[in-house]
Amino acid sequence: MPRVTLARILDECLLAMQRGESLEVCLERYPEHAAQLKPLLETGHTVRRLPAIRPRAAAQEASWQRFYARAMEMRQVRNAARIPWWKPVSIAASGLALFVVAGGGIAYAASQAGPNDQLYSVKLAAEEARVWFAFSDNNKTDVLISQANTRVDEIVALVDNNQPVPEDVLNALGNRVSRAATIVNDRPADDPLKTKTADLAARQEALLLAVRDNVSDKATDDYARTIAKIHTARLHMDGIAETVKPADVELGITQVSGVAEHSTTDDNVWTIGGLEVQVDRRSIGSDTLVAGQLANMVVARGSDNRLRALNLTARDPSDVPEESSRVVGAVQAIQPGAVVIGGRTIPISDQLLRTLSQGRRVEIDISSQDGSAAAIRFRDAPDSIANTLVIEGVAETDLQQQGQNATWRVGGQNVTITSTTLLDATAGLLKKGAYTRIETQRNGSNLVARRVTVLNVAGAKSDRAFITGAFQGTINGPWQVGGLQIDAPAGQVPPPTGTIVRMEVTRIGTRLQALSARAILSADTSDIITSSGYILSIAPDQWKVGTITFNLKSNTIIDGKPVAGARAIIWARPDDNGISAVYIDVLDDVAVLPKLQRPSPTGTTQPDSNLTGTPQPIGR
Amino acid sequence: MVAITIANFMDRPEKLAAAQGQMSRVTTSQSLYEREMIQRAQNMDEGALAWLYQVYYPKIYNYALVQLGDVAMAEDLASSVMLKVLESLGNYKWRGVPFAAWAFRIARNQIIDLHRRRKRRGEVDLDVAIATNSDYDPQPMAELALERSRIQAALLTLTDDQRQVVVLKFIEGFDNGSIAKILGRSEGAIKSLQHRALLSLRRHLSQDAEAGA
Repeated sequence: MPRVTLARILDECLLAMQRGESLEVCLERYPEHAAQLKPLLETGHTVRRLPAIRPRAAAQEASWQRFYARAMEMRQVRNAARIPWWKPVSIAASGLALFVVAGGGIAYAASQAGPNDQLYSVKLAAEEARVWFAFSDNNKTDVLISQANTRVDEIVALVDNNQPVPEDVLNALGNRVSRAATIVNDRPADDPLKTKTADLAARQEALLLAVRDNVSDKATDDYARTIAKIHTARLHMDGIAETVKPADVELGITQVSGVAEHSTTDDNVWTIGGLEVQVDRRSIGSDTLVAGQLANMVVARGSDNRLRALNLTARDPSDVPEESSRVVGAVQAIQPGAVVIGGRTIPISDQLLRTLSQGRRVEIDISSQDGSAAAIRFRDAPDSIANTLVIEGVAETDLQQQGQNATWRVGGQNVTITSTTLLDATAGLLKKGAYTRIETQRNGSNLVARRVTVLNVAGAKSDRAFITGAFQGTINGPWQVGGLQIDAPAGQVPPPTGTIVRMEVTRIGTRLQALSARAILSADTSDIITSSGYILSIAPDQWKVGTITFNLKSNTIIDGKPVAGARAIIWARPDDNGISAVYIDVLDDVAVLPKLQRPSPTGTTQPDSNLTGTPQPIGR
Repeated sequence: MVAITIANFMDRPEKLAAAQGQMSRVTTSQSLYEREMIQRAQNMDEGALAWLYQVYYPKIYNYALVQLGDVAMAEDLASSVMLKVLESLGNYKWRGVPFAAWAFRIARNQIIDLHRRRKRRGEVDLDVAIATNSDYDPQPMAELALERSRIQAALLTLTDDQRQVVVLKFIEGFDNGSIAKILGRSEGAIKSLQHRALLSLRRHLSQDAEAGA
């Protein structure tokens, strides 16, 4: 047979094998040529399965730089040639227009675009090109991390400006984090890039959890998807082959702390502050959880209405750090490695610092470790104290889940519990009968809870409550306080508008009747900082609460019993001598340190009627 | 096939992966996607240029490395070819010649030029140098298998046309039509070259195996 014929048969068999046919089948088709074909087909197959060799990243990158530079030269030359020579007057304008048409102008404009701008998709596309040209895994991961940080900055800026967080920035964030995680998944746990990526993913998940209320309505599905994606990426980087699905976080996120108890019916279910929470391998930090520990959990509510812990930390009650504080105030200055709030310089990590800006009102958690106090986390605070309304009273219902939020009726007021509400069930259960302090912000007709704290006080009366808020004036007699209408005590003179008042109220039908009222802060609250923590020491003129020592003056108001070991909230003002307490609210009747008291089965407590301190007359 | 635009896939890695997968096997039938990207690259669109580089640099490098057997030379050649592709991009026209075939033709011409220059300078012929040095390891990377060295050495014993056919078909994944356009030969000639190349390769690989036994 002529060679050309065998060459054709050989080619046909090679093509058939490339399409998946076996060598044997091909040889059976041409038995008379099988002996000649077999070694040739095997040789072709051997060469075909040689793996392609990846170019060295450094060489490819250097070559790209030359390629790109040449492309830009060519573009400039081309653009210059297009300038209409016959119209010299408009050369400058034409050149600019061509530059824009050629993409330079658009690229620049896009690089400045924010998530709600039309050019934002162009910006994301340009960033994608950068990922392509990071040829090594390390460079690629660095680029993805950098881009994820840009997304974080964009989200922070949106939240700062009270704008909704749209779906594209969420998708882009989840996309970049999960891609970076995929690259480093198989690396050792102590690999620096893996550690960096894991830290980033943890911070970004925390950020997303904190901005839930800023997510636009149409982006809620993307939000759930992004949370699920980032959390799953974190699990995989931890070597846990589990997945969190968007449906698992569909109905929102809640943060809760309290004593953890194991369910008697299901190994993977724990109760914390009275809430049943599924804790399993998908709960980061769950491996060391022990019954009786004080746990702090970020829990998600799934479409099946079950709560699942995403992240948790736990410690023995006796290990709770005494020297920890929460400070709320405006950022006065930013220094290298520190932030100044209320005249105090607070050390803070660079990672936290980069998202802070001067003038922003924040709530910062400070913890003392190894003798020095440093900020460990923060979140945005209301614009001023006057925008906060505090309700203290007995819970009249259990938490009622409604879609992504829950409602709770406390002290006669319906309060909305959102994903960003911090639920502190350290001293009792989050259920009907609990005596509770709720810091709220008014959103239209809704009172939205920022923090819920179950208190440890005795003798609470279900028909009484304490309301603390800004006096807004009178409407045909009743006082307007933080949006609530309250009938003032008989003969009480209204304070100046803006004064922060604390009123003990009772309900008469649908009306709120104040039994007592007093001013606790003048209208000017601009330099006031709010701090909370455990009372560590009490002296006549000085209290140490958490990490901060407060000076007491003759006009300092104290509510509650001064008990070392109880929790307190202090409104204070910096002055030449340090920080002077203006108002102290002692939250608990008894010390909750060093050993926390276990909540009673019903959570009911006795009334807090024995107020002490120096009352200040209304209208001072 | 529906054209995929940059905006469509930029933030969807799965689409990007699929698009790149489409490009992993070069065929005479051009995808609309590739056509769109080339047209954009001709307009100096940065995203399309990035795509062009990302797809073709590794292919050209691999093509050069197999034939030159030297990492540094292959890198230089791939870089030089990509610049030439960029500078000639405006001349490329859709007239039945796939872009990949057009780009590889540039690569092949540069490899021929390189050999000519080396011969003019009186340098030792690369084929001989590599073929006579059985210990030669041109690729220090970990994934270089012993088999690759053997095949690479055997490839260098083929004639230039035979080697081109083997590399373009079995390593780069071109079909006969594209190879014919790159080499300027008929498809029938390509089949004959392929046959002779595999015969010769088989013979050298067998001898090599016997020598090593």
